[in-house]
Amino acid sequence: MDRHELKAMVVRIVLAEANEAELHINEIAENDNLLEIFDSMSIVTLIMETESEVSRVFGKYIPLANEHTFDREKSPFVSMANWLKFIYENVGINNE
Amino acid sequence: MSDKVLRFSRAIVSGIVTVAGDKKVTFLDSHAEFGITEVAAKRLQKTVGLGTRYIVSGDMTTADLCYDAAIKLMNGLGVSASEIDALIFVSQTPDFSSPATAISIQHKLGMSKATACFDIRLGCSGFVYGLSAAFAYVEAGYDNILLCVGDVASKIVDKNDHTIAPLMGDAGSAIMVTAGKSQSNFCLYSDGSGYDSLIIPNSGIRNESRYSNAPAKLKMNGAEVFNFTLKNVPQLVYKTLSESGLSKEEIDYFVLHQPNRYILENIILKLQIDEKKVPHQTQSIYGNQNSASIPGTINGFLGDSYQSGEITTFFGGFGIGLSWGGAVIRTNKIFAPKTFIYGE
Repeated sequence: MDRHELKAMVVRIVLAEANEAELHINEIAENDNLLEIFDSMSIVTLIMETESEVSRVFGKYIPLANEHTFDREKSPFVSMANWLKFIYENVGINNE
Repeated sequence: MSDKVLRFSRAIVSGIVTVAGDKKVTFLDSHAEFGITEVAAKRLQKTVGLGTRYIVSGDMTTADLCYDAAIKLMNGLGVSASEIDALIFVSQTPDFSSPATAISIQHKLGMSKATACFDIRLGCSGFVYGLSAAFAYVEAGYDNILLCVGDVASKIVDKNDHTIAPLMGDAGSAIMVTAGKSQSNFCLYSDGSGYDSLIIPNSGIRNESRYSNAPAKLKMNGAEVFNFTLKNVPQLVYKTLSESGLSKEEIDYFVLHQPNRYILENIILKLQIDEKKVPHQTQSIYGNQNSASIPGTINGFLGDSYQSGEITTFFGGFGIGLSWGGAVIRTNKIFAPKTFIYGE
């Protein structure tokens, strides 16, 4: 899987969670703060779904939750771009 | 983290009994009570692991559950009330703010007036702290300590708060700590900067203006508790094992507090521990049993193992305070029957 395919997968998971949470969002911008869009339960679900898909695609478990998950400054969810960058770095895909 | 470790060599656990609340609640049947849709309920079920839980009905208290557990434990071990030197009660839900609930249980059990009794006011870390206190008393000369831990958390949550009410189960456990040769190590930690991450405002003497209109019900900042747990629990496991001179492969079971499925699965994967060594079904069957969740997990799912042989266990409790503690202890064929449902 290349970076564009991974991005598409992550965006699909985010929009699916928005749909599940009945947020009526059809698209997500790179500077959208996911912590402001989703509640904590949805954030955990996003992490679980993404970990699950990453595991299925890459064949190994890569933990995406840490002590900064809900930190307003350090969280990877402060923007969609940050969340994508965080995933690229963790799975070892170039963030160019 | 502090390098200080509590080390014991002359105290053992001889029995554990847990009694859960008498009323079974199924989450998917009760989601409407929390004002959430069936779809949202299924999401919560998947993420948090919400299934069934047992809570108390009527005026039943933690002390009632612990008393029932203590009777079953003493009968099972053949230990009489007069043989017990101290009773320690650990709970966030005592019968009264004062006097100590341990003393009323002592009287009800018919124990001698020469019994030392006191309460420890802790939640999800409380079992580990209470066990360390019991071990210390035995190490210092007492023969039998009755440790009672439990909570009726269903009574301290806002019944309409879907972020916390459907998590809670009620249970009381009784644990007998006696004199015997065994090496045990405890690592205990606290961080009062997070005192309001989990708090029952207006429940004591202090009234903070920001809570001026808040009911005396448990409030949880789930995000802060999540961060706290993922930051500290893996370190706690590594530190306690290191101080015990043991590798994770030498531990038979890692019995952790049972807040929710995701947290436990994340810890399992982070620590790369065999999933079979980390029971994590308690929340889904009995609910979050707070201070009783560790003994509740042993009685709920591991009783046969603990009753049939020698077991080396890591205990990890973490939560309200913020407070957390780890212990490595060894047990050998202890009395550990399946969790009882009150009244059955």
